[in-house]
Amino acid sequence: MAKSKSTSKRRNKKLTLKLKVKRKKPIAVDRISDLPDFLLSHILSFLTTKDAVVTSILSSRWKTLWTLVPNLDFDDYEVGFLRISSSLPSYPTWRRPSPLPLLERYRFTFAHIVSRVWSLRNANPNPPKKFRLRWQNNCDPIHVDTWLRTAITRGFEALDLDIYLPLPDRFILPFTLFNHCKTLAVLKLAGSIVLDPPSSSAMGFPSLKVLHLHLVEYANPDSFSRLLSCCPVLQDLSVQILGNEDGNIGKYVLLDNLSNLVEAVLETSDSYVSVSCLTELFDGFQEYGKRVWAFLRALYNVKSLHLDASTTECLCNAIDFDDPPMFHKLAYLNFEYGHHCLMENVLLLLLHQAPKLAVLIFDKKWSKCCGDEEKDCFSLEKMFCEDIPECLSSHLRTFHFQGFHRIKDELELIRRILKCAGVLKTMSVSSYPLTSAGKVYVLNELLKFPRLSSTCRIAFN
Amino acid sequence: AIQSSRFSCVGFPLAYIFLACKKKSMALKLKSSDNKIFEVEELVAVQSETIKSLVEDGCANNVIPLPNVDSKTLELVLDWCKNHVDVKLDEEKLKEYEDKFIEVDLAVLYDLLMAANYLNIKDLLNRASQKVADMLKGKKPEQIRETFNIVNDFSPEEEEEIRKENLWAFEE
Repeated sequence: MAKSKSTSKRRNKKLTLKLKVKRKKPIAVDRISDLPDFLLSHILSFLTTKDAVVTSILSSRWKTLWTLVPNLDFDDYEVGFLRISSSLPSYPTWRRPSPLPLLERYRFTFAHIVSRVWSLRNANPNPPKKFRLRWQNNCDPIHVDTWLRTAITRGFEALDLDIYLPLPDRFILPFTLFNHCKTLAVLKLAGSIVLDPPSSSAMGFPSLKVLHLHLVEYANPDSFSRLLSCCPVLQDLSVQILGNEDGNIGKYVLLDNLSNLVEAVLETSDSYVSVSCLTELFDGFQEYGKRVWAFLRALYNVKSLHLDASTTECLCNAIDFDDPPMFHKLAYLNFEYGHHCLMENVLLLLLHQAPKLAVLIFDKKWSKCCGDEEKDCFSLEKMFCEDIPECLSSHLRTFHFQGFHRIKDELELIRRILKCAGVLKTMSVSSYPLTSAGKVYVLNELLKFPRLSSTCRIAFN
Repeated sequence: AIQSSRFSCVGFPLAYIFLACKKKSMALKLKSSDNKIFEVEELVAVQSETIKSLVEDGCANNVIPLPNVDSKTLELVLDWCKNHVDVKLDEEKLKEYEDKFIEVDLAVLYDLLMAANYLNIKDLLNRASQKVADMLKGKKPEQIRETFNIVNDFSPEEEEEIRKENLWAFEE
């Protein structure tokens, strides 16, 4: 049984060590409620706003604590008031909400709830510093705009916006964000958002360290570059780009100031399929590939780089790119293997350009599409024999092969890496489901390969 | 008292060069609320912003009293600090350490929270807060009260009122 707060506190003070030892169960003390307001609100800041609001009912001590929390975090899926109606556009399965009849019962909408919380929170004189909004169903851009403008105040630090509007609706990010957010450190945007940074010189995010842009749209061909060029201290960049329109990765790459960038994730989905003429298609591919290479050049200072399958494919399309960038600091590379017979060549090229690479994740999303295996093996052999990448002989510690299919080529790649890697510590291979006989075969093969590094351990699956 | 071994091993010239470059002596003495003295390297101790400012103001020549932290907690906190000295420990290992470190009783967790706050050690404060937040996440009010021994001092009517006010947060 819990004692009332004051008695338990007093008792606790008087408890001697002896008493404590005697007692089998420790006395039920509510110490959390004794923590100062700012500590409790700090704890609540790690929760979504919904979970924070739940604490208002715990006791009178907690009733208004949540309003002190410096961030607001709303997720329409989590809030759960999603009306399923036939008028809604069809969502991809991963977006589809589960049927929840509550909205009907209480006649609340997600917008009501957020607005209500916003007004209840007004008791707190300090405006929120972080605002996260995920609104995928029946999103109303007017509301988003209102909340955003309320949120953008002096000292605002983080915005995470993930909204979905049925075509052709779009949410245009308010200009004030670009002009008045000198303290903004984190900006994550995803979904039906149009980025149109103004060209005024006053614009900029002098404090922005994290920038994630996932499938957003850019108003102009240079919007993306322009945005990046006004983030002088950017450290972590993640981009998912729709490749089917002009002005995405940017015709004009003006990115010479990404020197602080330490982590980059690139995903460029290749939606070129809509182009009908084949030659045009090819030119388009090559042109785009060059742009991706040029963009990579701007990321020369990264320590960690993740390239998705479409990006590596783009790189394949322009493998003869004149001046591939050097990544002198790159230590971690996640390379997703796509549909292209020049994949190995691009990988090797990148290995050559990254002398300090310590961790390589080779993630095979597809099995090989073109049957020209001999040719591939040949190029592999040639490239490994002639000139072993510096990182392999002196830096690579971890090599992880994901999506192993038990193809001869794959074993060959592994064999060559084991043969050349001088300081490799871990080589792990995870495969698609194999028969037990297949497993034994692969394992045997793996263990047979000569290893240059005597301390290298091999893990399979 | 905790004796730390980093940089004190012989035959590690780099560390000596580093030591020589430092103006002040590397050892600081901290006194816990129960009067135990902890001798720690400056590099470890200054992860506490509170101690750092004392050092910078030149107030760290004698024993630094920490009247708000008992020896048991201070020992834990210093262990945390040692593992977070600018080491190039790889992230995985550090995370492993942190996860293990924070697996403690509620009582210890509160002590850590208070100490991290008083000593102003941000990463520890955040990790401890995160731990408490994880215990609140997605839980029903009754479960939370039970976990933390919180006494519901509302009358049924009051409770109903609050529930109505934010119905959306309480419904499943």
